[in-house]
Amino acid sequence: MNQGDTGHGDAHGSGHPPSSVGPRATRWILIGFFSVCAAAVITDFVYHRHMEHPLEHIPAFYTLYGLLGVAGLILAAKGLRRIVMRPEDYYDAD
Amino acid sequence: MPTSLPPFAIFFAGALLVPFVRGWPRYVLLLAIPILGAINVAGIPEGFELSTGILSYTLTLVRADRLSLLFGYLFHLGAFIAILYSLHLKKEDSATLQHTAALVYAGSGLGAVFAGDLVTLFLFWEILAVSSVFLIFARGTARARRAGMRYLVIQVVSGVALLAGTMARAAQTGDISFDFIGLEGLAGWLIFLAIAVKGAFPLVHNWLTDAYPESTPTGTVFLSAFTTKVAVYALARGFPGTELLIYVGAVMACYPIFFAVIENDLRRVLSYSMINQIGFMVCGVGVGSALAINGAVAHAFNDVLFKGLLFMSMGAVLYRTGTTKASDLGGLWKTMPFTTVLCIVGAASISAVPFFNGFVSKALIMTALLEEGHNWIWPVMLFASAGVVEHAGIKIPFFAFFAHDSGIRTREPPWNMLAAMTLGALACVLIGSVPSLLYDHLPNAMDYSPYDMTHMLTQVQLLAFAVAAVVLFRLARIYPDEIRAVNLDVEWVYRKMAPAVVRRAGSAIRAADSAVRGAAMSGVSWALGGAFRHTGPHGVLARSWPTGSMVLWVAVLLAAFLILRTL
Repeated sequence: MNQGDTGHGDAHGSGHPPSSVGPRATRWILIGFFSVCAAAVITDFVYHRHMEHPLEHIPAFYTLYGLLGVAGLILAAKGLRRIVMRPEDYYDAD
Repeated sequence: MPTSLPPFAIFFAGALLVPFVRGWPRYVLLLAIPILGAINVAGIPEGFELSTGILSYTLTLVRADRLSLLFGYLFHLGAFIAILYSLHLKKEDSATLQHTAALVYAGSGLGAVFAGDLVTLFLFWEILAVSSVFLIFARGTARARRAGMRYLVIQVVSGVALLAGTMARAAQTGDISFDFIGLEGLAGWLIFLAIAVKGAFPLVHNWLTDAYPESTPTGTVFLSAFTTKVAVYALARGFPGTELLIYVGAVMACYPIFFAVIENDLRRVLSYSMINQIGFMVCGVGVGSALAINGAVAHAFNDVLFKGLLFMSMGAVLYRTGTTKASDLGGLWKTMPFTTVLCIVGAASISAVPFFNGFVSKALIMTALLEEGHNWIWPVMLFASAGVVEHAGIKIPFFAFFAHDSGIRTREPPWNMLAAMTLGALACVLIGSVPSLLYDHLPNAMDYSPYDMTHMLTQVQLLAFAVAAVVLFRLARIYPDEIRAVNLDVEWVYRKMAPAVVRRAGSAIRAADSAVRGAAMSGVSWALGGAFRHTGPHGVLARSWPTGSMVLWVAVLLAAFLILRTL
């Protein structure tokens, strides 16, 4: 079932495997998505949201927190992989 | 004669009948059981109790209040969706085994949430463990058998802890009723430990991520609905307002998301995600205010729906392609468009997108944290919320249905799977859009609306930028590749370290044993050799003496005697 295992995911090899979504569609999806992001930031400066937690007083707090939180999560997880990753048959080896 | 039956009885009776019917009659029977059960529960009034006396104790088989009734409704809904999802099973899928085990399992879940005393709870707690393991064994692989055995051992340990706690409590207080328990004395801690194992608390969580992904495509949907939710129910009943739970919940909500990011098996990603979601519930129970308990219970309700939906969508992928490994999948939207959309609904729900059900229940917990002044925990849970978006909101649908084209061309799953997923998705959207449907049945009265402008705006900001981080990392090619691998977790202790320690200890003992035996044997051989030397055929004591020398020695003796005598 797992023949042809290259060990690493195929997504980043040289000559990337074709994306399942075409480049035009991808571009429009990204434009749409980043427009939503821009609108979300702008709204924060236009609309006065009520605040309960001290951190919420930071301008555009939720956008920063979401962006930096997940960026930190991904980088930390990559670091975690160095410690915990083992071959797929690690537990079956005995 | 009582007007209502104990809710578990209908499922257990159904489990007895199922092996004797096949084809359409079985479909009808299977679907009728949760419907009849729900009608039965709807007829149970609040405050209803069904008790029986054993020895000097009173066993309360059914105790109906707002909390148990809500879980009762939830389990019927969850059971109906999961049964619909598993209707197509054939003989080669061990259909009878799976259907029977699933009914006993769902029934024992109901028995546990309606149990009014700890002994009844223990009985259903154990049936829950024993029946559910067959949904793992039914996969039929060696991996599943091994994972199932590990699962069973750990679940039984939980049951033993509950029994010991119950006995300690009976000895201390003479009371076995299942109400507020709290972390006092040995009994409280033992019962807490039992629930901790069942609820996949940190360090005792690995049974979930080990066993659930090894179950059958349909079995995991059942598994995700009952065991951990019974634990959440038991916490809400026995340990509301226990401060420790706030911190345990915060840890639970956070650490699994790191593992989820790097996990390749998408059903295992969902298992880690499940622990993360239970973390929110545990935290809510720990806060303990009316709003927080409502939030915990509401989130348990919604989790059965959206996590069930996500497990169903991955089950459909597994059923059609034979794998849920992200490294092997991609591009399935072309041939499984309906499943893709339904999976995205589940992903949006678990990510707490406004108008999906996760939004309306997570809001209760987050608001309760602020209201009760837990200013240090709130940012932690907010981080966990953003993390959910990454692994469950994006990773699951993206790697299965989009990403690079894996070349797999398949088709939609059978109609019943699609119908079950559609039902789950509708429930997610309906509760998300009309939260009063759920709010009106929560245990505590409250006046709360999640749909104010600030809350919706901040949630959209958080979600959009959490997704933005993933998108930017993908574009910059920093996002971690999907790699075929396993990631070490606590299970390493009992799957690798303990066996190695036992093996080492065994060989050390064997060496010491053979050394001692060798020494003893050489001692015995030396003694035997000595005895042989003296008494053997050539030994001094066994030597045959010539008659002449005998006579000579006798004469010498007599002469010596004579000399001594005359002196």
